[in-house]
Amino acid sequence: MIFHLNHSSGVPVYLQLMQQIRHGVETGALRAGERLPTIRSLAEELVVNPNTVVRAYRELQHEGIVELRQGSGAYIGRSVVERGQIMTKAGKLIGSAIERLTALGLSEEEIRRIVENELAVARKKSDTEVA
Amino acid sequence: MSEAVIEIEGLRKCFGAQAALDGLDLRVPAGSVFGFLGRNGAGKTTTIKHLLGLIKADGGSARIFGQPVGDPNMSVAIRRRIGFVTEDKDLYPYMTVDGIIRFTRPFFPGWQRDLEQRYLDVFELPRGKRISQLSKGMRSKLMLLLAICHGAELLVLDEPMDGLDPPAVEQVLRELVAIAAEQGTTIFFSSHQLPEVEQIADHVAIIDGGKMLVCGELDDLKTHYQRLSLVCSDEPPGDVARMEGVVSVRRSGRMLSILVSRNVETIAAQLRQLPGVAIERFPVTLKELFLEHVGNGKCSG
Amino acid sequence: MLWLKAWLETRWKLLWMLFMSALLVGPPLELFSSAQTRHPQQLLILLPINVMLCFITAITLAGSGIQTASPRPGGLEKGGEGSTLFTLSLPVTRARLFAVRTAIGVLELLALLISFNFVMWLVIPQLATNVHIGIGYFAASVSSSLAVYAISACLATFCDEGWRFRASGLTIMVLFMLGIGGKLPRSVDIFRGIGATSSLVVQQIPWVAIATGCVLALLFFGAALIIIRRRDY
Repeated sequence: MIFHLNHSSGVPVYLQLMQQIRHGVETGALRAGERLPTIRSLAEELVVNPNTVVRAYRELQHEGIVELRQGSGAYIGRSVVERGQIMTKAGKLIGSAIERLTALGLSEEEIRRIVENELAVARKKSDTEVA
Repeated sequence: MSEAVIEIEGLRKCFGAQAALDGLDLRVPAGSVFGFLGRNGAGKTTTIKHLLGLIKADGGSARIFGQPVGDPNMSVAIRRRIGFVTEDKDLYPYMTVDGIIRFTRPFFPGWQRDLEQRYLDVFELPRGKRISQLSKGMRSKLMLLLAICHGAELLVLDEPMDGLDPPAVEQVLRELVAIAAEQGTTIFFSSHQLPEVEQIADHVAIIDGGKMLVCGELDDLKTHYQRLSLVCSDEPPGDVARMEGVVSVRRSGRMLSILVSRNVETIAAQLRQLPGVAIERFPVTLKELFLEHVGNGKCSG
Repeated sequence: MLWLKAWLETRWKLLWMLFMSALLVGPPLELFSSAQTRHPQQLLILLPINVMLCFITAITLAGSGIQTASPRPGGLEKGGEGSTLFTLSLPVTRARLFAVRTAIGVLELLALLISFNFVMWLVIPQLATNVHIGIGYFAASVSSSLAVYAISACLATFCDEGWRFRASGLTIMVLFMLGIGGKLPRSVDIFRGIGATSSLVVQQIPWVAIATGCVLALLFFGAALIIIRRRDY
């Protein structure tokens, strides 16, 4: 697995790592049960702060993509295969939605705005539900 | 909250009529890689010199390892635990590389001899060369070698990458990361190389005019700072700048560029209520953050 | 290791003083050797010259190294002399840095003093057989030079190189003038002890003058150490 990080992109490095690991799972570069590099060795290889790697691995653990096993390191979760399938399904859903919106005459920009808007609304809803 | 290695509160220092430090607050957590940023003359070097006990402050307090910096009984003990690279990278010109290593070694009981050769090789420093013949970059690396080999718990580095070409910079960054990873050393460094800071720091602080402007975990700053780009069909709203969390607003015709430090969702939602408004979100780089706060010389936020 | 460093920094000054002394004393010696025994009393002029050399040596050796060992509070703010910052960041008290630097200076001073006086002791009887240099002369010159060195070192803790020279030189001259003018009590005047008329002819050891020299030296070293201790951070 090879990582490409852009330090000046404004996107936090740990997010970039997470995205690339997820992408690796989707494309098959990383398989279920495969061992990820240790925090130290990855930090040294990429020349990034070790805490960055820690954070990426932890967040991915919350998402269920990575398992951190005491003493032996980080592994791609077994349930990850399912996640990959869900992602594929989601891709298809959104793909067809975009087709239909385009047929209605909406531009790419307008579609993006609507998506953002709806995401914000959904987040607000879940926030108020929690509160 | 992890223990703080360096704690500065309300630090003040004047040189004549000029205030180099004007009530500075700063906290460096143990084990962090802390980037200390500011323009030339903002007070970075003054702060570092005070921490090393080279300058007395006019007001406020500073503690290292929990000990007050001004305590004469502790100062030697503290300095034994700190590795320091000075701004001017000046060593004794008449000594050789090997000479200054042998000179410095006896002062530090925790000196790690096995690291000496390793860093001499990695940094490509010839043992027999006289310091007066070394370039500034080589001297930077030599000072770094001396600071690392004595097994310091805290490294205080004033522009450690000054004079280094990109491959050498990468070398130094790699070694700093390795030390942080393997030995949990706290690294406090000032630098003008923002991309390098962005690469290895987990905390940053930006100071200007002797005051703290921005301080926090780098990842958090990058998550919370966002740029919103707004295009209106008519006149843009006038009171955007007063919304909570907005740092700055730039306007050109019907377009507004808004830098936000928090509450980006709330702000974006409010702006979307306005008729005929198109909004885009962009992440903010450390350089933009820095220039925004410091570029025009005025304190903002 | 501090000793080595102090030595490395001052050895050129030492050689320089040797060289200068050779230059200054050589010609007069030449002159006198040709004049032979005609005016033996004139030789005595060499003695004050010798002592002046000792004093100048003392002032020179108590040099900028001391400033480096322990700069005065204002000195570090705008940069400071290069490696000073590195030295001060080492886990060594400033008092220790100062003490080592001063000690090396004293050792070098003594080395020079011994060689100057040795030369005098050898040469002068050759040129004027009725003159002998007593041990009192030597002791007096050592103690007064130490006093001068201590004054200079103390001044070095708060003056720049240029001012220190002037200040030291001025102090010496003032004391000298007072001595000539008879203002200082005889026993205390360190210059009398080493002047042309004293111990060589009289063969008397000017104990009080020597003691004064030593006391002054101790006083000023002590003062310097106190100043440095207060600054230690």
